[in-house]
Amino acid sequence: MAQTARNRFVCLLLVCVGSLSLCAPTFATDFDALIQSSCIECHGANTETRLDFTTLGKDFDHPESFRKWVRIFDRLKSGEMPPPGETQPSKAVRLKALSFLESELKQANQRSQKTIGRVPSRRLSRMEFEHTLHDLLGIGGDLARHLPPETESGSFDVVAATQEMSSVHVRGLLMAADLALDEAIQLGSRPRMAKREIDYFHSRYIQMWVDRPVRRGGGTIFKTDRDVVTFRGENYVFRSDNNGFRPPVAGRYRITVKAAAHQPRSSITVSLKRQNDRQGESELFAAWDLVGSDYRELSTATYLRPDDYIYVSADELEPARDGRVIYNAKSASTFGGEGVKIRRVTVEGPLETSWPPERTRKLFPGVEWKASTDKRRGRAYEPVLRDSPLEHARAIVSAIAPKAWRREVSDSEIDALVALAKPSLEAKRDFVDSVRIPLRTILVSPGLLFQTGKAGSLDDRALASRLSYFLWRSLPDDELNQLAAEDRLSDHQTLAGQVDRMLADPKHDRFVHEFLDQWLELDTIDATTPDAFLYPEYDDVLRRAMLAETREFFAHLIDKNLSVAHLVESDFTFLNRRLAEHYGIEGVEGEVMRKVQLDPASVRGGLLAHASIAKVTANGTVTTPVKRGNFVLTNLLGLPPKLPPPGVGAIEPDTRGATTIRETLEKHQTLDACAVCHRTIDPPGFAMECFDPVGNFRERYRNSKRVTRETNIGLRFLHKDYKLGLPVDMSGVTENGFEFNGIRDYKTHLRKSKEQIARNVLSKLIAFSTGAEVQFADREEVERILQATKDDGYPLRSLIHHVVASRLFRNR
Amino acid sequence: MHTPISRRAVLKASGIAISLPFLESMNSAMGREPVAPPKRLVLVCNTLGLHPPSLFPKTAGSEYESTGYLDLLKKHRNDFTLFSGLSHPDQNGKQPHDTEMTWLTAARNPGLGGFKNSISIDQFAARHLGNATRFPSIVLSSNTQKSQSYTSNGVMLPAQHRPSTVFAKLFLDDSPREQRRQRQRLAEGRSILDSVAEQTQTLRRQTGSHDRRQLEEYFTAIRAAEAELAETGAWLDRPKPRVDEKPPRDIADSADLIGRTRSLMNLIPLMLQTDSTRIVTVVIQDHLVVPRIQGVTAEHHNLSHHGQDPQKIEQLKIIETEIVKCFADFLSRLAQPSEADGRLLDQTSVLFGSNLGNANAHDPSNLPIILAGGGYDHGRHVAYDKRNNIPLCNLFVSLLSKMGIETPSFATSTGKLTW
Repeated sequence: MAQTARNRFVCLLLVCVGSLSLCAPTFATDFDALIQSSCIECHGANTETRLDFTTLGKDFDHPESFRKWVRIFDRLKSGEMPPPGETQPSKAVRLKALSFLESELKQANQRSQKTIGRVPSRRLSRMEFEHTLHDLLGIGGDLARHLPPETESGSFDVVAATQEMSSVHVRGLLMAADLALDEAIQLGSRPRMAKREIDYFHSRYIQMWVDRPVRRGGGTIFKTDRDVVTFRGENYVFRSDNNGFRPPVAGRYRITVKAAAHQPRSSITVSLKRQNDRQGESELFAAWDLVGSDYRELSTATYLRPDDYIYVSADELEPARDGRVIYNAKSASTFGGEGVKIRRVTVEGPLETSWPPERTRKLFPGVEWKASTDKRRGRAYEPVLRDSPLEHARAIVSAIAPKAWRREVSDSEIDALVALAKPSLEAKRDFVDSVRIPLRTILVSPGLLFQTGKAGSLDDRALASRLSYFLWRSLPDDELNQLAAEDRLSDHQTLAGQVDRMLADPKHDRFVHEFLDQWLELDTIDATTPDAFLYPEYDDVLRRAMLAETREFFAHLIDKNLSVAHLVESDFTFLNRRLAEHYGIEGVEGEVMRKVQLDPASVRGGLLAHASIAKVTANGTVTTPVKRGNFVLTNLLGLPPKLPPPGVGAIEPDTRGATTIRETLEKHQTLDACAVCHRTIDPPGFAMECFDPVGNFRERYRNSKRVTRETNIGLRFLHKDYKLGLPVDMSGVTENGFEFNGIRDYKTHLRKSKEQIARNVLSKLIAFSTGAEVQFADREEVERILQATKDDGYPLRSLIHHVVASRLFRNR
Repeated sequence: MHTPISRRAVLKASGIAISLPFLESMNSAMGREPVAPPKRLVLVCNTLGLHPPSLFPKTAGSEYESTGYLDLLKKHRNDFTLFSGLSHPDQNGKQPHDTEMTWLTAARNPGLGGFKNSISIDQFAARHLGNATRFPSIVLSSNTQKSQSYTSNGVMLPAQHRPSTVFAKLFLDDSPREQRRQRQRLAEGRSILDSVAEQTQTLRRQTGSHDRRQLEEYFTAIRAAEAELAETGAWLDRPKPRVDEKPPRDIADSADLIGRTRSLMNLIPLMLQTDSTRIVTVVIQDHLVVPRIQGVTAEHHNLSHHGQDPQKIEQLKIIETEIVKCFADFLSRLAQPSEADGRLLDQTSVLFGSNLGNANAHDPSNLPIILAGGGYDHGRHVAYDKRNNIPLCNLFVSLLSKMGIETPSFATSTGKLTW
């Protein structure tokens, strides 16, 4: 030790003596001058600012001081510091200081990445856990809800640094694993799988509601000679459990609906909704257009659990021409409003080819099943064991553990797992119950829950796992595992080939959904609900189409490898009839989302014109340019504005119609303390003012007419209560002086920031795929990828390929 | 923390079908000297604030002039203290409503980059009381799973929002078959956790020393869960207390904020009387829908941003009046004589308030804070400096002390509030 230290000292001395300019840069020579001349006056020992250079640690390997120095570097580099009006350092001093700091910080960061790794061990997010169990066991029920929600930390839920664990998680995991095994192991009597009818027409329950007068809650449906006709959505009279159908077991079911529009004057939607005993709100899982008066037969497959029930719902119904709604009609049969005629609803399933189902058989390899005579446990099947129960237990555990843990599992680990079943087997308890113990252990063990490993480059198994959790949010499949086992995955070409294969697999929808849910905050679409009287057009069917537009658009950019510039402005988008009507675009028929070429004069095109984005950036019934401007800066550009100073109140929205939000925001422009930030934050929001909270294009605000509102639920969608008020001012001037009038103008301006948007998207992809934000030493790699994709306009699929091939992805 | 009431005493008594008042019966049933009733803590938050001019009197002290909202609590005037000038410091967050996360924790700058919440006062207290009761704490919310209760490493405890489920958990015994099944699962759960803990230890040894945080947290979490399972197991053998009330029906309509809140809060006196728990938190929060109250036509959230529009304020006051009435009725139930030596209210500190002082401007200072019951000297409006607020945590320290938990500080406290 001493020897090396002395040698180093001698070397250093020699270099220094040889030439002063070659002397290793030090803090004293390269940075101190800058501090003394330009910083210390405000950032010294007895100053009011939070930064104090006299006490700031200079050990860059210390995480806390490292973080501070990175901030100093960034502010210095951007020219934000020293602020205008203060003593400015000479160009030479500044450059010297910057280059010194850059190289020191990079080296410190690299040292830590080499020894500790870039990404600490991280656990699967609750959604990743759910997908993993789904894929591993061939099931489909909701498991994530048993785990506590992820911490709101301003980053992706997979980012290791902000993840937490507690006994709440552990108990939730145990519960979820138990329920997952309940769903996977189906040994009850073989359910009736053939097609059967939910016979609304002959249902006594339906008849009761047909006969019941309006004032006693009935009268919303009637029967023709063959159909049941309904005039409201979410009509509980159609609950399948009250009309003869509950799913007998968990599994996939095919539901077929034959229906037609009744007295149509416009498009009508018939949909299927799912509800269960646990959750209060229904979930829309299929929706179809009914046009004209022809019957349509429509079909969908979905996963249902025994506590679910479904119902047929009618949406987008217009009241009668005289304005009457079903509740104040004389009778349903003479009511003149739009409705839906339900002819026939059938259910087929569970869609299994054998019983016990394939997933149960797979979980118990080597075990045969025979009909059981002992029905006590609610089981109709019992195992036929060829070997000793312990041997079978070993075979079962050995088959699933390596898949679940994404690595080789040693004999001693298998022994330990099998040993968990042993006391139970020795006590002559049931074989299946006994084997469940090690199975449940596998599902909550750190091997399944954590992405972990040593610093340095990922081995093939770990690479397969990281890749798979990036693009599928779940376990590697057989092909990935095979390639990894043969150490072939790390080959550049093979890896790229796998990325393409994975992006072609339907499982990549999970990546698209969860990446966009968090990046664009689409998961907050239900955080606020617009006033149903001011925005009666907003319903589940529209909400679903809004989300689909953004997801399909983004998936298409990946699919066709199109430039990130499309995120700002694009000559196409994805629509179905409902959303196209919402946008005022003609010629789009049917419920299927498809690519639609936009008119060159359209305000649509690009994320900012998506109704989903208008919705998540709205504040319930009102919009605020501040929130939307902040969204553009933070989520799209990756340049979040600074926090408002303490004690600053939020702006006051006003729907009285006397003042507009622009007038309310005037202070932002006139008060210096506000303007310094708001001249950057507000302009994108001004441009987006042309979209109301549900994404309609507007030139005037909607104001309440103050009609008396009845609070009866179910009535709202039939009532409108608005008139057009003051005009919307959608003009503004950006911080750097670009004048715009409306969203189209603004988009042409925003397009100039293509590189910054690409940098942001790339950084998000890196954080999402690796579980750690871009660090100081990673910046070079980010810039390199940007350079490499610049000429093609930073196309999305290429960005994904570059991320996967990068040092950041290939190393822990 | 050892409580004066013996667990066995409660349990034995709870096997007998009794009507309330409960502890009274217990003492007589046991035929021995009455034991001192336990101290309880109930924390209720209305997340959208309370319109300040309708709540705060202009004058302080015991002769304060009542206000619209305080009129609703007139009957209880000597059973509560209204505080003004209390708040948590540094509550600028990512989103203006992020202070919902910190009302009971006081963690600074909620939701901002790298934010980590800290333990909430109810969980801090629950940890000290341990498993003296079947449920160390009960976490309720009117509409969602979102609660304000956080563990020491900042994990939110999911709230229960269905009164029927809460009632079943507290008062309905499972079938013998279900009990057997649960017992079996618990035993399995413990051996599973043992094995998982061991695996985690091995993995910890294999990973670098800098990289252990998550695995260490998992290990600690497993050990904590094991202890919790052991407690659950111990309680499984004991019958649940029986109450005369019928199981409540859930209200499916999420817009019926008041109905939902009321049916949850109705359960709290039962929980306390049966000593099923001593710590309860309640969040009153609609899902940004138009509450189904006569005369209200806009969302609660929207109305809270009334912008001084008198019509909006009028509607906001309708909602808040109903909420304050819920609270008043809750106090009335607690004030009924029930325990051996008096009223449940005297043993129960009830904090009612909000994480927003002025929701109109998202202002998290000058919080509305009403403390009722708990055996304090009440009847006053205690007004602190509006510009220079006292940390709400100072009051938390007093509340904890009342529970028998002496702590020199809690989160951002600077002392113990006395008034």
